[in-house]
Amino acid sequence: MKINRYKSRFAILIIQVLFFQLSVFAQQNVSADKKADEKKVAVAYGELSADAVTSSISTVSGDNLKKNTNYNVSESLFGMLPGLFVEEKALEPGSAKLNMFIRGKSTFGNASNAPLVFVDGFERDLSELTMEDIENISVLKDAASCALYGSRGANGVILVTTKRGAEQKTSYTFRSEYGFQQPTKLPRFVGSKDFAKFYNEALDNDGLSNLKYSDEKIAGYDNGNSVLNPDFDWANEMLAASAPISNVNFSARGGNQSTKFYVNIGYLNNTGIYKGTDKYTDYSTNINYDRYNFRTNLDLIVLKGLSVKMDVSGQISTKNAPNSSTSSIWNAMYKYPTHLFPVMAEPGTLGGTPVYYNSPMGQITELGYDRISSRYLQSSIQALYEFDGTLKGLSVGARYAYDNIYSITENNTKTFGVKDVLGKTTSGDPILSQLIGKNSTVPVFSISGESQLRRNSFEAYSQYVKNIGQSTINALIMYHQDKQYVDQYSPYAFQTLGGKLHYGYKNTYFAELSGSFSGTEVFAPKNRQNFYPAASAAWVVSNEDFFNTTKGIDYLKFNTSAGFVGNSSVGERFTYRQLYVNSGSIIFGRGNTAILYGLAEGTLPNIDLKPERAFKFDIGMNMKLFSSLTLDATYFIEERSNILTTSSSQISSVLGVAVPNINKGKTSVSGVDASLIYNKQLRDVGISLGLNLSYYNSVIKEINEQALPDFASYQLQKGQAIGSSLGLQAIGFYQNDAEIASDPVKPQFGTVKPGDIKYKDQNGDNKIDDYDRVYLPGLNMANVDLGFQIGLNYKGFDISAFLNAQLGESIYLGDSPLLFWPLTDESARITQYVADRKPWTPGNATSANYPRLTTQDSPNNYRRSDFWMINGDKLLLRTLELGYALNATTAKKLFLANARVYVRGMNLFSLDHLKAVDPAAMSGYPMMKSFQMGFNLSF
Amino acid sequence: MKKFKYLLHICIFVCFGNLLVSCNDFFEFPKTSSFTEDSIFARVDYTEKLVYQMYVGSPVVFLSNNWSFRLNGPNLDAATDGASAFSGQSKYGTHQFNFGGINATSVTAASGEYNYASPWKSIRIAFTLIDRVNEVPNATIAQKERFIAESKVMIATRYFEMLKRFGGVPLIKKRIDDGSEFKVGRSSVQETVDYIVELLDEAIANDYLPARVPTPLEFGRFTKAFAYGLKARTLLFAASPMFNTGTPYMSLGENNSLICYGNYDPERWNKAAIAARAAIDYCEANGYAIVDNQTDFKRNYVVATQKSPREGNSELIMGSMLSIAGTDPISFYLPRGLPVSGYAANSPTHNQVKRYRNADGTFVNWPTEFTTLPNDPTGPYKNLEPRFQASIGYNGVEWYPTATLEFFNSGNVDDFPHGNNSKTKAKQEYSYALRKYVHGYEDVKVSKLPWIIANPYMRLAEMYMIEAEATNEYKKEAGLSTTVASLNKVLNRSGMNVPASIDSYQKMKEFIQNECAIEFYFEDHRFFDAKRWLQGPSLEGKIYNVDIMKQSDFTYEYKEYVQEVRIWNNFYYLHPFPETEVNKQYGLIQNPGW
Repeated sequence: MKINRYKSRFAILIIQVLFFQLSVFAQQNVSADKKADEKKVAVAYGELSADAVTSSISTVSGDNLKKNTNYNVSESLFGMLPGLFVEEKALEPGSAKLNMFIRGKSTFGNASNAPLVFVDGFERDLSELTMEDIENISVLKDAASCALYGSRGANGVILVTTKRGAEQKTSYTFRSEYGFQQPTKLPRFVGSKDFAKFYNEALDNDGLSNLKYSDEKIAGYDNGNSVLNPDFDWANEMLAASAPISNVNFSARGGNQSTKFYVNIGYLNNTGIYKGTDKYTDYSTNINYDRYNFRTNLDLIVLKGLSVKMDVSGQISTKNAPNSSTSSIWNAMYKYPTHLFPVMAEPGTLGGTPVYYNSPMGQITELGYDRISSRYLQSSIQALYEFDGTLKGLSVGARYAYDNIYSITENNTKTFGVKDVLGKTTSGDPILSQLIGKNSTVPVFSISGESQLRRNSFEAYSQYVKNIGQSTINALIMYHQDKQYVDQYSPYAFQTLGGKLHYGYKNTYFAELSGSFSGTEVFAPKNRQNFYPAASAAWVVSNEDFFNTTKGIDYLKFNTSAGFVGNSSVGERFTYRQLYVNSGSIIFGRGNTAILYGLAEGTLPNIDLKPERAFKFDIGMNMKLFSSLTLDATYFIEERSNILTTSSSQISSVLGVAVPNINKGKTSVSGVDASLIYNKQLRDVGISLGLNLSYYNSVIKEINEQALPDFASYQLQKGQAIGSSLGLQAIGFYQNDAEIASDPVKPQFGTVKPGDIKYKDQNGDNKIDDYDRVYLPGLNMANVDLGFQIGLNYKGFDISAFLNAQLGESIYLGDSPLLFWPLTDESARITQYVADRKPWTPGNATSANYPRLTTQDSPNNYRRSDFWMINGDKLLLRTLELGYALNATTAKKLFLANARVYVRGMNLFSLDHLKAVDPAAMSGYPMMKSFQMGFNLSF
Repeated sequence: MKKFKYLLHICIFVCFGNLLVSCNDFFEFPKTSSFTEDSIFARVDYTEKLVYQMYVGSPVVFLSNNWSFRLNGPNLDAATDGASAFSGQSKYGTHQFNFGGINATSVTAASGEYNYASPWKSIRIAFTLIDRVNEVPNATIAQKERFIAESKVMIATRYFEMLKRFGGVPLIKKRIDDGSEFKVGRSSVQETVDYIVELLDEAIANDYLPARVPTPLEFGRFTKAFAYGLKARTLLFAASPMFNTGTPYMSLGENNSLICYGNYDPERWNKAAIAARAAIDYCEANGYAIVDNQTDFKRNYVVATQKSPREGNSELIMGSMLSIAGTDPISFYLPRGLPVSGYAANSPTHNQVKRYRNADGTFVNWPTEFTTLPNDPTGPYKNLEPRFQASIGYNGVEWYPTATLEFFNSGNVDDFPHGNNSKTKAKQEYSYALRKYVHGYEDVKVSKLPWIIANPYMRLAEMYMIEAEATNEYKKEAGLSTTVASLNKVLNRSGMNVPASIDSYQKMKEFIQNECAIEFYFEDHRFFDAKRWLQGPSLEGKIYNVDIMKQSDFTYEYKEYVQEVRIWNNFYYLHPFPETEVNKQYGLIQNPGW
């Protein structure tokens, strides 16, 4: 019996490794019998059998996540957990954070929508984690699962459990990956000749024809790139074909009855995409991220009944980078001309002009470099005593964690000058200007930033588990506190006293009451601590005697929950009292020595400052059909209140002092999380399919917004979704002066000319102004997230793919004016995107699909309107992996327990409406695709 | 084992014992300063900090010195016919005025022309000081009374700046704390003027407000001389056609009194003339004098407009130091192109250049096309009057000893390249550069000098100009001798005088208006002067520039052309209140047309 159970567990493990699975329910149902309750689910402060879970929780194992990312934990979560939204954004090596939202956004203003992240029972950031160490990740979504987190639970909770030792022969795992990254889609720009033609077009439109490029000059670009007639692309000059990435981890896992351990040590290296950065022999200015990680998780049985866990983990990283911000480098690449001066004016001297003196090439090679060194250290100890005898079932425990994060930024700063090409000598040689700017040789060292975070957490709890006849009781009382010291406003303190009572009957009916009394120092003393109760219930229909599995339904469960949780990250602290604060400065007399600093009256107090309060209701079902298909679906409603919203919208400015935000905002959010999983093993072929769905819809129900004139009531935020935006509606282009003159509707944003965007007059006042903005379709983030996984295995081979679709977002092209608003702010490049759309000219008036080009300010065209909004729906092939595992007998001959080799591609393919550039990287470091090879040996 | 259990129980007790600790101890307040209003008035040095705060954001500093300053770079003069901001930089707030993009929200936003929230903050501090300064235990009577007088002048200054932009505004006469009291609607122009004058009269009657700052270290704080001057300035605006009329520029129906007096009364001009004379007499009795003792005429004007009192500027009634390291702020004033590579945010126009006379007093007859002698690029300009030389840089002029401004395009690139500051080379639009305020700092990008100048908010010269204008309006030809005498006081120190041909009221009026545009160029006057004279259309239409071509024979061809066409609407005369403020519906009536 025991052996069988091990076998089935082993089978589960193998399947987990080889297949994609989506949620806890997939795992629990792999063994198609009713013993699903053997699978434990991490819940707040403990775990429960899957049957007994009454709240909304989704879990995914670390092994399933690993193939979705090179090393970044948040990146691995796209579409993997129903209810979890991850905001896509390109990251440069070493940046590790993506925004995450559980069930979308429920609050607005300055308040945070970010979920609380707990790792092994303590608040920690996902970026402090190493992918290899993760056993599983759960998201707690409803009031019942989050109640014990009290005033921090409203945005949901992400629980991460790291790997621990096991009572087994010590197994060693060695994993090594090597690969390279390439930009997915860089914007393309027109060449010098086309640029000059477009620029002339723009000057014609502006009535400045006297400044046009001569035909002779334009013809000069036909002869290819030269110092006098440059024609090149910054990306070609500055970016390498690919950037390497490598990752090695070695871990050991094992233990006996009294001691269990998991240890891991790893190394990661990821290099940036810049080239030419090794110009100086003693240093490189390329991005280079080096990370060492380690973890030791120990489980000790000290005495009978007393177990102790001691965990230490950390990351030590060094990031080398050009001494110029990423945005500055990439903005210069998208802005600096490629037709006026060459990259190098002469050997050793970069090209440039007084206007374009900060050459992007110079920024990555000549400004010196930064070195950012960080360390994350996490340590914790916990003790648990389980009573025996009459008190059997009772346990008490305590745990304490001390974390430290430290980071220092060192700059090694250099400067460079550029030379302009002024003309040519009679013999045709270029005449160069004097040096613009200064060259320096040895980088000057300085320290620009240093920060430290200390976090002390303590927790004590007592649990009682008892089976009485067919009833099970599980009662918990817990106390948690933590303090963080990170800046001058420290400490940040949290305190919670909570408990829950879980009752099960016949393993079929379950009910749970939970609640916490939870607070933080942020709020007015009378509002600091609040009570957050929740109730939930579950009914496992398939465990009923009357239930007959022969109908094909193997498992059926319903659950529901309701309760309150809070959000204390409201964007401000202590504003229940008014202070005088150091404020502006003024110079009297002469010179800098005379700067005097004033003391200003701070914002008037909101004496009732309190946390946001969310009421959450969930109803869900879980079923398994024909021993292969699992369906899990939850419908939820959240009513959030006490959201801080401004009071200035009602109070006249003559008051002369800033007025506080008050807790009056309300929102309502509803939606569905669902997953559908199909697993089948047919002799040699295994199939696994999975579909995850997250959907939400939010409505602002109350907000203190600006009173608007009656005719503009369509601009009220009340009733709109969080993240929707106002903009004008474009209705074509003005075709000629006569049309502009005769049109009764007058735009108010400045003179319009033929070829400018014409807008719809929404309120019929014959003026186009800000009152004609209406809510445009789409949100600033996706509200539908779909994840589709497919896995196949045949004998030792396995292939898997993961597709992710994000729908509902609108992309505003005005967020990257350098690409879409040509020639603004001295930008001197035009994208192929613009060229393809044929900017308006008198000649192509009817076929044009872009407003006229201009070298001047164009406030009429370059403002938020639906002309600049693009449907942001996208589909990405996030992962494609092909692997081969040695079969057990062969492996054994090689003294291996397990061996697998694989190749993996990430972000290989995507579909979106923008096409010209990756929507996740419209400015700054590009989105990367990667190709990796790796192997995994266990012995 | 038993012992262990005992220990364990102690442990549990200790752990849960935390619960017994008072929560308020756990939630300690961060150890940052917690300073309340009572702390301010507990010590005079803290009270002084509140006084400083009252001056923060004061309109006394009008020269742009920061990307996030008013209008994001250019000065307000670049929204008049006298200057222009580089069109390629869309951030520049003057474009909105020049090309019709202004709206109620942008004009009054923090980086708009006028930050509407700012005056009320300052006024609240002033009333707080007036209310509570007597509580300060270690302050002398002199200190307390000076704080109170300064507070009143500050309220008056803030209201004057609002009057000239909005007309009548809500009048606050005490610190508002009660929630219902902030529902204050607009008062009439007359009430607003009267309130400003009343506050200034109170400050003038205060014996502890010094005539000039007692030490140079306090330069920038209000004085009694300034109170006199501001009174004259206020009464000048009150007497000017925009307000001093029965029919406003656009009707506001029954609320016309919010934007004009409702009648024309010539006595208002008389009051302005009297106030100007009182200011002149008080100032000159207290050591202020028109700067006329420098090495040359040009230098007189430079010292009067750019230097601090310590550096010999005896005519500066009110100003504030700009002291800025780094090249960003001064770049707004420098032309584009080598060697200084400025941002051309404040480029003089040809319209302004045409205002100046020759140094010998004769009027210039500007041709639309002009060719110089070989190697004489400065031909059209070198004979213009000293104030032109001090205010505007032009093609061929020495910028600093090793650099010359080069606005010319090359007629033959095979012979010589385009000029460093030319359109083709540097995308410089206007063939002029602002020289006022950058004397001694022309090479700032090379020498990296911190830019230190006195921002001239009010000069004694203005009092003479007010006296001249008000006398001419009140007495017409009968006052000609007084008018000419006042004007000459200002003109003579720049080597100029009133020509004999200016012998009628109308000619004198036009002459004075032209002289104001010259004397106070880039001192934030022209924009408001044109409006108070109801000459809005003069800001409209064609703005001229000259195209300069250097030919192979080394002659320079100057050709006048239209660089931009500006927009004017009559509702521009007064600023709009922020729409958000009007929509609060407490009775703030919007100015007509907005």
